[in-house]
Amino acid sequence: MDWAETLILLSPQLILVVWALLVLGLDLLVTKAKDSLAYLALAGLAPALGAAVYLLLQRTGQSLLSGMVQVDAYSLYFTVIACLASGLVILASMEYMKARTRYRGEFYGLLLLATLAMTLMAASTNLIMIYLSIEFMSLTSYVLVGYFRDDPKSSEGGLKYFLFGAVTSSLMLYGMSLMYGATGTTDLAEIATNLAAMHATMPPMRWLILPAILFMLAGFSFKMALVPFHQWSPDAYEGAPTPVATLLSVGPKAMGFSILLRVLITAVPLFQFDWVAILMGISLVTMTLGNLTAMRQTNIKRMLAYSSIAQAGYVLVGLVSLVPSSIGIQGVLLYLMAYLFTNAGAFIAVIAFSHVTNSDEIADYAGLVRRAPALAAVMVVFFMSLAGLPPTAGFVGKLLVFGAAVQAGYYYLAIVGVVNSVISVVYYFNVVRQMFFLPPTVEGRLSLPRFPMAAVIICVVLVLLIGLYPQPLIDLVSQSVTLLAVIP
Amino acid sequence: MENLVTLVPLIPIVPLLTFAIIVVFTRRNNKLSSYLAVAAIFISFLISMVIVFNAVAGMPHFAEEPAVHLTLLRIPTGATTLDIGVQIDPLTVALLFMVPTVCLMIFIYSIGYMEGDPRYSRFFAYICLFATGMLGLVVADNLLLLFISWEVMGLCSYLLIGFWFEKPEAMWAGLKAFITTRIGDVLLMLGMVILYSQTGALRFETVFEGVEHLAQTNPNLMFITALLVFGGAVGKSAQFPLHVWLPDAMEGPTPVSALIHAATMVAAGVFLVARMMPIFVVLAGMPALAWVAAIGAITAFFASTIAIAQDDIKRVLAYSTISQLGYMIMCLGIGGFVAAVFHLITHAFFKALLFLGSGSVIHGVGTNDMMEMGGLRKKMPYTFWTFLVGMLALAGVPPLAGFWSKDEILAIAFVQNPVVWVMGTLAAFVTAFYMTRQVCLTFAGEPRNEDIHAHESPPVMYVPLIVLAVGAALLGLLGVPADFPVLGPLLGNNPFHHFLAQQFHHWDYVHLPHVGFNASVMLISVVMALAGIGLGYLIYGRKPLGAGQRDPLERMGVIWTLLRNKYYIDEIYRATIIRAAIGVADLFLSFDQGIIDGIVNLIGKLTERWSWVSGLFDTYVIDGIVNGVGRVTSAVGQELRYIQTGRVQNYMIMVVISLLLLVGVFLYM
Amino acid sequence: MIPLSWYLIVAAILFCIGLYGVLARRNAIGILMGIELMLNAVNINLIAFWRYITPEVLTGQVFALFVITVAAAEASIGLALIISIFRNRETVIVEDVDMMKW
Repeated sequence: MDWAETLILLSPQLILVVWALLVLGLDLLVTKAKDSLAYLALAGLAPALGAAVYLLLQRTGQSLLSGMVQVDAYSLYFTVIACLASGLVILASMEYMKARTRYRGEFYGLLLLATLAMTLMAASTNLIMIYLSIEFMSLTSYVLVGYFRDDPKSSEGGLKYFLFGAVTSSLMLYGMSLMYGATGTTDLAEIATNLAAMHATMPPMRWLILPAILFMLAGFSFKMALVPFHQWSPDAYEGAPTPVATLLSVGPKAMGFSILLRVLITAVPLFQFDWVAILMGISLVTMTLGNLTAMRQTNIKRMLAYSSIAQAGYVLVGLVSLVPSSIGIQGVLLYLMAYLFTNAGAFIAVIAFSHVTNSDEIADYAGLVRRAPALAAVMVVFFMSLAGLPPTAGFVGKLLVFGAAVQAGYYYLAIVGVVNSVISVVYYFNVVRQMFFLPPTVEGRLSLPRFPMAAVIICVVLVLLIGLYPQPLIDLVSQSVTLLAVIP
Repeated sequence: MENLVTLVPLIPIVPLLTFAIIVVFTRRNNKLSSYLAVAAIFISFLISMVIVFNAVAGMPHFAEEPAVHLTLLRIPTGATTLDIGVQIDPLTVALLFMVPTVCLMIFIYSIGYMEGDPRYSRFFAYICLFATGMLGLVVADNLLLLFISWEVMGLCSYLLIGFWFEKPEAMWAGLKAFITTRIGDVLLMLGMVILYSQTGALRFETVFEGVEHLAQTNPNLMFITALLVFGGAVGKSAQFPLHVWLPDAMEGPTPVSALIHAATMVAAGVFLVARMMPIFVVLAGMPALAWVAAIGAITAFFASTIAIAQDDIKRVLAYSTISQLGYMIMCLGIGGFVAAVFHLITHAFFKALLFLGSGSVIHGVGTNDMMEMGGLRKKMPYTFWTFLVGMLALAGVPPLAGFWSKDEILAIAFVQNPVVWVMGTLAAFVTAFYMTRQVCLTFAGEPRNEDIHAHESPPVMYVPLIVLAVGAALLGLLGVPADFPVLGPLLGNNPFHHFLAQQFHHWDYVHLPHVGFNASVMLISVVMALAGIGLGYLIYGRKPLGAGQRDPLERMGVIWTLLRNKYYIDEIYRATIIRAAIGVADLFLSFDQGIIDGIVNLIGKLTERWSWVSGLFDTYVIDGIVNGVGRVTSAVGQELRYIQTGRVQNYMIMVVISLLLLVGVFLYM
Repeated sequence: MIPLSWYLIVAAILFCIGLYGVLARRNAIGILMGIELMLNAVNINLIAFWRYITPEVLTGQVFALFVITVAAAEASIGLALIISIFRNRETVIVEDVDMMKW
């Protein structure tokens, strides 16, 4: 492997790191036109995204940097998700941030760094690299959540997120150290071979490997906000600048799944029986608890926070349905892409609304259809997608994961999933009811901010597109998962 | 016996667990906490008694093997291992008879004495921890465990002296005790390090084998090591010149004074010297032992004289304790191993009795000042009669316990070292005098303060007094000299001596003198005791002090002032050592705040620092454990309604609990 | 040679102490210190495993170095957040930081 090839394969990451530093550096020089930095950041994301897509279509698959990272269709797929998420977030934050803080330059710089961290998470194949990328992601997002340092809610969210994250990452590290001790290596593939070798000669070291897996799972689950590692998320989402909450709800969550899948399938396939059982339980609890709690919320950001917890539970349904075909994993990947546009769209719609009304209360959405019909209409699409109704992307995603569960024989999992989707309709359409059937408390049309609305429209188009014609995306994910090590 | 020794670790562990249980679970429930503590020490007591009776019955046979061991932990240290374990040997057995018994009595007594205290449960937690330390010390088979227990006791002593930390004196006294004994502890640790580096072991038997070689190759080092180890004993047993902390330690609750500062912990210094006897006698000419004898004799005499001029009922007993500990140290210094241990045990009984009696008095009258008391004989009959037994025992009146043990010491001193004998005899006389003074001032005559309406203490307090009084009266009969006419053969030819003399059989270089019954020495000591009592009665008993009357001894003038002010030793320390410390501190820390007003500032600072540390300990370790647990449980309850409490620590607790549950469930599967 | 398990036990105890601190301390700085203890416990584990299991490959050492570095970064960000909380609320007691709940 020569250096040129390495550089090409890592070009999305390299572009991001150069651009992030550029934005941060220019932030010091540019004093007036801070918004230009946002365009600059967007301009940096575009080539990164382009490079990732190009590489994805090239069907490359290479282990780089002494096995620290692997650039393959799987990691590139997640790189695309990361770039898209962050692009949408930058669009969404332009007017929002301008109205709220003077310090915007480093915000975009941090967003690019967060994107870089996410792409690294997707590509890591070594425990050390996994730890570093997760921690990189966490550190940038702690700062982003507490970005409004004069806002008590923002700093409270940041502190809670930080403390929770630091503890779970310590737990994860402890698990990693145990895994390293048990196998003598931190490389995921070597872990699997060493475990298999040990398994042949010695009695299985369940008592050591299982706690290691569970402790590592704590760190990953924190990123994915799975119950019971979810409690930071409502507080952090509510406190954070809403664009940051948007990013957290789609970006790191998807990356958490990418790491989880890679670790479980590459490193510890031997213990598949155990971790499938663990994740199944977590999935059930996550779906149910997320949905039930979401029902009682009056703040739409908190409602969306709990809803995204529940969504992670659905994704897990696909993840545990590994046998007999890879359709479950495909479902996970597809679901995450669909969820990206759906949830980001919903959050950005909330940003647009709160930018003009300065409110996140569900009650204030009353009569929105008269004040901003377009916004109300797209929100309905997003809620339909979140609830998994056709013809939206969310429907395709749910179809795949629940289908995989049925195929794998986990009927009860599928049933609980469907029941939960029905429950979720209640609270999603509570908002719809407010928007369409209640009279507005305040009269007058809303003049919505431009850039977030652009992002919302991109999202709604994609949600409907995937919902109506999912075949290209399905092809893409099936291609991406075949490169992911061994799938039974 | 091989089976019995496996029970030994339980003796300290049961109180330790109880400490944990009280701190973590039952702190809120005072009654339950105290019953748990008593139950724990009762279990330790039962196990100890099983071991004692088996040992006395000849199992194991100490004549054949020096001790029975049980290794609990092997720490690999390269080629060899450092074994940590417990052992049974005659000395351990002797102490196992005394310590749990006295502990049990004092625990029971505390139920009544501490009644109504806001930190009732904490008190029992601390004394449980203390019992762990003391019992661990007794059963340790190596210096490391001994030292750990030693430090645990030091900590408890500090915590318990400062138990009523609202009183500044109590806090200061705790600090003083901690710092003063710390000097001794450092010396002991140095000695321990030298022993370990020279003999490669910390287990007593191995050390004793090793020092024989060391004594030949490097006698100077051996001498220094022995003195360092003795330094630890000087600190712990409050011997001159480190005795200053013990009287101040009386600020603690009286059961603590009885338990820690009379019967057990302060005796640990004596125990240490007794335990390590071979390293003192291994050098030819035994120079280290001479130091031991000198320090002991000086302490025994001077402390007893100070006791004459004190008005605080507990301080008198404190100086008396120092003096009696000096007796034991002195006795060890002249090779009287058996006699010293015998006195240690009898003293524990009658001194604990006296302290508990004084506690009962304080409980009844509400003051420590004997000048405020008087005429309590009729109002507190149980207390009076038991106190009287204790006083006579301490004074050395036959046939009470103190008489036999003290007489044995004096008999040895008479043969070994006449100077020591003179000091000891004088101290015996003074002791009889000040005890008579105390009894007369407290119990005789009419109440000197009209406002005080004394009452007898509840049974939970006076029953332990009676039990201890029986011990104080009869225990001496175990050690009646074998050649004492009639009584000696009748009582089994001094069974105690017979049993304990086996201790060092296995080390050829340990030659301990054996001194028989000496009628003239005994006669002199009886006369001295009676003379002391008589003089005391003449001055204080014949015409009891009335209200407002001054102490007749004030007529002694300068001597009185000297005694009253404890020979100004505290003041001398302040003027020299503490001032020097401040000078050094000034130099190094360059406090540029102008004139530092000496001691006050330094001690103030230290106190502040220390109370801060102890405050942290209290707030975070003790309260933290409790609150942590409380928080977990209350969180679990609350979660059911509002899982999302808004408190990030609750979230984390949720994480940890779920994780543990998952690990548990999946490992079980 | 001291057996591996001893190091692991020390690390586990240290980890638990840290975790206890994290759960029970009320002061955010104290919690931060608890987290540092947990990370140090992990480092002990890593180094002990490295020394005993794969002394020829430096993985464990490198991992520990990374942990130390990241811990420093983490602490600085944590302190920054604590300062920002303190500016807003005049408190660093995490229990009092519960404006957002339910």
